[in-house]
Amino acid sequence: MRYISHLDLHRLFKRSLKKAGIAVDYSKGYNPHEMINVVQPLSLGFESVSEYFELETPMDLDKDEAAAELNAFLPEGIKFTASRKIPLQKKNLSAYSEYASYEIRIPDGRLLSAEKARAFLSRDKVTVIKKDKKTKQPVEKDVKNMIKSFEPAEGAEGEEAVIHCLLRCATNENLNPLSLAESFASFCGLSPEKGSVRVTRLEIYGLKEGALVPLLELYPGE
Amino acid sequence: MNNTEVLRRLETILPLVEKPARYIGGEPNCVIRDPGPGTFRFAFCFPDSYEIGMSYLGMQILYNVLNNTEDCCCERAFAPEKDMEEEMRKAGLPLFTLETKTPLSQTDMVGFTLQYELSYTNILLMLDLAGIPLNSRDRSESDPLIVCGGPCAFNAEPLADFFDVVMTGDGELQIRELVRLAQRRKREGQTKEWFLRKAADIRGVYVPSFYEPLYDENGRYCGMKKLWDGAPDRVLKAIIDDIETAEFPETNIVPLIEVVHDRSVVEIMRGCSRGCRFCQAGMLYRPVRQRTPDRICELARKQLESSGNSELSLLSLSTSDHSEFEELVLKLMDYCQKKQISLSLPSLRLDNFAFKVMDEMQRIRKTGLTFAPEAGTQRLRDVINKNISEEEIFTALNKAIDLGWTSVKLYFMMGLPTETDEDLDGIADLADRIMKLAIYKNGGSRGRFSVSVSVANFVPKPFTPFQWVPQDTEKEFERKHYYLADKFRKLKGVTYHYHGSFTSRLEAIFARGGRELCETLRRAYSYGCTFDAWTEHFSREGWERALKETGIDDSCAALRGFEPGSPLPWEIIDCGVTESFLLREYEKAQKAVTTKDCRYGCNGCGLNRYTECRWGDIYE
Ligand code: SF4
Repeated sequence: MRYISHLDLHRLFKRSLKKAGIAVDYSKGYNPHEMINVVQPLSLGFESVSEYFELETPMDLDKDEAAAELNAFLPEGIKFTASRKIPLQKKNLSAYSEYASYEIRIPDGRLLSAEKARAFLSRDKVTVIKKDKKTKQPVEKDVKNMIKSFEPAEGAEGEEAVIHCLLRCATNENLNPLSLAESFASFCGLSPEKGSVRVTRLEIYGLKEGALVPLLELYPGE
Repeated sequence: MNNTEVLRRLETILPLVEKPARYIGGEPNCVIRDPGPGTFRFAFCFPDSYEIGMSYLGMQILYNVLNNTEDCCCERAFAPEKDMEEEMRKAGLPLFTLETKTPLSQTDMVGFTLQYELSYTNILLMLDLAGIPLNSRDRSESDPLIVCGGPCAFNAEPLADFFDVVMTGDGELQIRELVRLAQRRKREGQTKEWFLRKAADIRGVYVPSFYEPLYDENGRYCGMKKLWDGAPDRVLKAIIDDIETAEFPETNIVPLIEVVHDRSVVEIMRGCSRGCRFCQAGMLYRPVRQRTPDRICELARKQLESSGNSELSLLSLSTSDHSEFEELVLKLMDYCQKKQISLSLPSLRLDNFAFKVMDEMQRIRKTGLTFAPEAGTQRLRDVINKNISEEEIFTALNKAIDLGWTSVKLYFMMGLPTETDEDLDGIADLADRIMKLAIYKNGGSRGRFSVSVSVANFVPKPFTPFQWVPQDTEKEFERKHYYLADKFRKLKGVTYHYHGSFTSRLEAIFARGGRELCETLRRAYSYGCTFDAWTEHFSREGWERALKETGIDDSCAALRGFEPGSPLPWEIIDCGVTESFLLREYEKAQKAVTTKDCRYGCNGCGLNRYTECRWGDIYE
């Protein structure tokens, strides 16, 4: 489901919960809102095979039944594949997200290679173009320390270039894979058409005993 | 082009357009079937944006009816926005149905709903994008049948060249009958002509190609000539006697993106007995029919449960007129409070009961209080038979201010028959007095209180007592707007909104025009006019050129009006209300004499010749 925005997804989940008869807690304070959270929401147009959604409920739910109930309503392309009961935490799950892995597909891949990727990354600075939050002007930003890995996939020949990468994806620091892909493409002398680069998020990682593990593994269970 | 190819091309352009989810379908509760070879395929088209179309209940009603018709599957299409249109043309992608991505040209029947005149060019846009010939006579036996319904279908003459079949009146039973006939045609391998002749027998169905409008030497419409003897002299609208048992959807499609109204809606009543003389809906949907509170609650519950919606709204022309309104509202309120659903009650008359309800309802926003006096003086309100008095307004207002409401919205029309500047003064004066009352009650200061006044240009509509009257000229509208704007400038805390007069003029032309306008429409479309109801898309140049080239100007009958008794371009349709009743009402209007609500005694409009008016004459 590439084409619905974060807000729409949020509304969809709220509605699915209502339909499934699952009550959610409300936050305290002046403007109470539902305690539900889409972890590190994706930009419009990205795909994903592993997303996280958390909710706080006063009910004693069978988590698998609840997931099945929600799946029955959700449109094709959005599905709960696993569920966990997790302890009540001060911060929501987004705060535990550190990195995310992505697959990037660039249509005209002739000029891309592992070698080029090494050259791209070995420069002192790896910059992407970002819009400044205040002035809305495009500015260059060095993101070298936000890239854990960036590799054109093994044996990716033919027309389309496939890149796998692991990038910073935390609440205070987030690298947009599309900007990085564009920066790399232009480094290689390519300018892919608008909308032709496809991004799929593969996993979101958190830290457990010093190692990066998929968020789900922070909460072992069946 | 097959579905897979449509999907492939669609994938390449979706990343380039705004709100791509408008074009992907797959929403919860939409009906996606693998149509077998024998399945009849209906494409329901709403000639405006996805967001507007998906907020329209009529589509969900008919979508449900059609998908519950044996061997029939109904899918949807909307008018693509300009950016999408451009990309579709570049990619050679024809207009397709959201459900299965089938090109419209490969369906069996394409049905448009005609809700407002300013959506007409979008019909041409959609047919064109689908690669379907615009004109009925240019389409072959294998092209889909192009049909329409909805309030504007009561005068579909400006679109007559494009449609094979026009449906008038209540659609639920009629559309199924039409589909069954088309299924039979397909099964038996009959011709389109065979189908059209049989279709003309279905109640409410009008086949434009069986008639030819005649014009006199001045280009005025002067009568209809039948081209096939078997065609009916007049087409009487379809009427459902009782809506309690009429099919109504229980599982509505839930849009994935935010649309205009994101809520469950139950139609509680069809028709209105008040008889406002400017109101076309009030005449077209007669007589009043109701659903029982039990049935309404059941439908509401099912809809809410199947959609996960958190808002419920009721649909009718005049909510408070339901004969068991209080019982109904108490029931619904009780249910909604338990389920944390917010209930909205549109077109509520602000009497004591309404305030009790509003006071009890949680989560009600104490902001906009709405009145629609429509005219600024009692005299003019009597002319248009709008039964609302200043006393009523001020009583309600007094109470509302006490309860903490801080804003009032007032709706008016200008250009009404017999209107003088004194009536316009009345508009400003009413707003002024409301503000003064608020200031007085607030201990001398305005505080947060605001009044918003919205003035629409009057558009005379067919099948109303004002169907004969001229519309104000553009110049006259402008003069009145300046006149009012000047008055409002002096009022603090009062905002004044008005509508563009050129578009109101267009509405009038297409509301009361005849078949000659088909060419105007074709040209306007070819000059790039689409989405005419959207200010940001409206092309005045395109329209002016098209009107000029086809000889439509200020002197046309649709703007200048008709002599009572003279032929009217829409006379082929019989909406059940007699012309003599309309004329009587028109004459009373000129004398500012009111007519009572027909729940207090039948006024003899003629509907009871065809059905029982169960809610007519029920009160003393
Ligand atoms: S026939 Fe009489 S009761 Fe029926 S709608 Fe007309 S005026 Fe009302």
